Amino acid sequence: MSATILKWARNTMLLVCALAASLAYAQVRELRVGVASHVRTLDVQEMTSNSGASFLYQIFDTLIERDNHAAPLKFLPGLATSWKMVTPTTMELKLRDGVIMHDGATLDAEDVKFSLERVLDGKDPRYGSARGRFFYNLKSVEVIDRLTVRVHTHRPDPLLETILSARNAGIASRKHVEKIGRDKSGLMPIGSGPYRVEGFKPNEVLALTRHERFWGERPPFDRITFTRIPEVAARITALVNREVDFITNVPPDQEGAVTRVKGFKLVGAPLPVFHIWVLNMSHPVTANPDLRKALNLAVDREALVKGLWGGRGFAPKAHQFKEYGEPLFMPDLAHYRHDPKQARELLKKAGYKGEQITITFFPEYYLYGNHAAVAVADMWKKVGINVKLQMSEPVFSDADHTKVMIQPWSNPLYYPDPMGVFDTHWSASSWVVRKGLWKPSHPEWAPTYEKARFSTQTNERRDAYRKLLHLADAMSGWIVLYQPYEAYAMNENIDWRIPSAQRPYKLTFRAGQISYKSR
Amino acid sequence: MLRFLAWRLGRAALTVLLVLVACFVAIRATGSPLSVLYPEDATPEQAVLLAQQWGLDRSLPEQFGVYIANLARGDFGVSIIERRPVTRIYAEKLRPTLQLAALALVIGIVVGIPLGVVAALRRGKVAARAAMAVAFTGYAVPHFIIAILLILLFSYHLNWLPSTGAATPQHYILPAVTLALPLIAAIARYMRSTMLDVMNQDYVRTARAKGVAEPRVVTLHVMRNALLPLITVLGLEVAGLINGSLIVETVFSWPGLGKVLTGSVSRRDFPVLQFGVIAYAMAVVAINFLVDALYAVADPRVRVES
Repeated sequence: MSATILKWARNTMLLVCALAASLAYAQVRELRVGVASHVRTLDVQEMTSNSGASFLYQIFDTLIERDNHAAPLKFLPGLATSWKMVTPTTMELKLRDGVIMHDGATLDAEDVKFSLERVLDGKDPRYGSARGRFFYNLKSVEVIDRLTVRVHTHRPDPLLETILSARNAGIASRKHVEKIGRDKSGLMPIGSGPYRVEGFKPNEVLALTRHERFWGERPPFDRITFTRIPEVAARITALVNREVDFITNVPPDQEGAVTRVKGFKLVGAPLPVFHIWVLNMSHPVTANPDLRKALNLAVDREALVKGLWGGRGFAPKAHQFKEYGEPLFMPDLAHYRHDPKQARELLKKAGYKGEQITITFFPEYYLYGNHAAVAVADMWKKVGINVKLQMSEPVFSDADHTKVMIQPWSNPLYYPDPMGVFDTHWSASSWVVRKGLWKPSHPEWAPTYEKARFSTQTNERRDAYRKLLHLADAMSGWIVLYQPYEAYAMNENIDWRIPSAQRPYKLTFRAGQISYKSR
Repeated sequence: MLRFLAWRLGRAALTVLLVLVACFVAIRATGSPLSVLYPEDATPEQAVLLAQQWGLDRSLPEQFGVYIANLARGDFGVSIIERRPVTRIYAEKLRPTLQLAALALVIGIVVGIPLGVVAALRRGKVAARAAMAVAFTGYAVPHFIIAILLILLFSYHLNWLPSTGAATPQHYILPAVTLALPLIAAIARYMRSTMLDVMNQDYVRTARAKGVAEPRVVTLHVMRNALLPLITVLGLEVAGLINGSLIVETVFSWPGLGKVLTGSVSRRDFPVLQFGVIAYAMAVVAINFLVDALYAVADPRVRVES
């Protein structure tokens, strides 16, 4: 009898232990992400790279947030619960009360002033990138009281809400940075977002845990890890081997390695990024506008999308993205076409005598960039151009471009507005202008650009942008090749979609943005 | 003897200095780390400020002078990318690399020596030929191919072993085996040839003639004498292990020194790369110096000739 009781007791204990263990397992909800590239710092104002945006989004809040899928942009309350323009150059924002940061301190107006203003004075070179790309029109941040700030701009700015909802406008803890210094706070930052930093090894792994006192909706995961796995084959293997749950950057020719294994799926789309070739307007050969136009007309974009991207990239008809939403996106615009006949005529008009045209390309820097170079070289040969392919290290702002005729570049849409791609790449302060690769000589270019950037009337901005694109097309200073296709692979139980209102490559893992049925 | 050691020490120091100069100049010839930090949107003012901050606006000899002066004070510099002392970065990564290398070395010895012994004893037989065929393949196929094949089989298809990181003991298996395979091959080949040499020696013949049992001949007379030169070879193979770890750590995302070094090349992180190269050069030079010194102790001819 006692033996039976003992046996029963033992079995019951075992069952309880097993149940407890399985419950504990089910309760720890972790998302393990394998990323192609990582970051060296988590300083929210410094890190302007694509992968940086993904990490910072989970850690830091902005004053104004965005509906991730609305076009045109729809703004939502973030750390600010309301905001209004009090003068044409001053926005007043009321801050949310009782926002607890990751170190337990309460966020206030001083944190906002500190975070944004450290970018504005131009003294610390690490913030030059964010300033040039987003914040150059911000003048100062004034603290009115503990929960009220005023953001002053140099000029009236139609994009102020857009800029303040970019992740680089995230708010970090002033006291924390002042206490441990900027370098160290970049490694162990304090924000107010739904996840806080548990551990960070630069360029290697970032571990986040749920911020239990987050002001908003409870985030879906207890823990998220972002591990750098640079090789695409290694990333896919880690996924199908269930070492990670989600991976980034799966090129179309590798998708089969995921789809042929049960239990996984792909989520992909042509991203709002242009892969382009810049035609150096300062080089004696490519300075000829008719020649540049001929080069443009000889490119068959549809063939490139079909051949390189398996039909899944996108061949645009103009330098614009549907992510702007109408009216700024203009579906009727059609500048880009493939017309070899006209290309030949223009070559004749340009007096082209078979001078060698060199395409500089950066091996492995842009996905399929090598293939594109070879394919376009062939298209150009067919219209009678003497083409040479030249491999090079990636050269941008710091290089000598005097001998470069044509070089690749990419134009991502940093925020869903025409200026999200134009002002961030083709403005007067851009390196392509400083280096003379892009020399907009048309007298109407500068005033039209001004209007497209700063007019407070949306229709006026749209018309100016339309004109700007016509002028750019006439000058033909660059060739838009295509929008690349980007795919993410994940466990089939994950429900996530690409956020079209955020900058490309951004991963959104807050409440309501992803679900993962328990494993 | 002291003069000999002083001469060798001077030569070792000169080697390290030459390596340092070559590395210093070569990495600066590839461009500026600032273009990696801010590839496209560093304004000219920002670029000037950053260059001043990191001393990159000075001439090359000036930069080198500052670097050597700092080295003399024991200051190896701060990573341009991570903004942490390079010594701390390397200290963090030393353990995983050493663990992996040690494991590979153990596997190499435990498998390589018996393989070489079998190949020597069964010379000409199928088993020996097979053993040597495996050894040659292991030696001929580069690390990264072995790594990819192992990952493909054990991680992608069979889902038996993890392929990325160093989180659990299972994570050690694939990278350690990858690193060990060429070592097994090297040890087996060397063991085989020295065994064959020793087996033809007079004292072995004598042992057999006086009726010593064959297992005792092999273990006591042949293997013991064959192992001595192998120890020298192992010293060099350890250097090879560090070499191989550069690739293996990259393929398996192993958080070790190799990853730091390769990463510092692509990111042009001058201080990190320089320290890595010096440390590596010093390790190899130290091993060679030690071997030279031991030779001199063991063999007076070396002293006299030098």
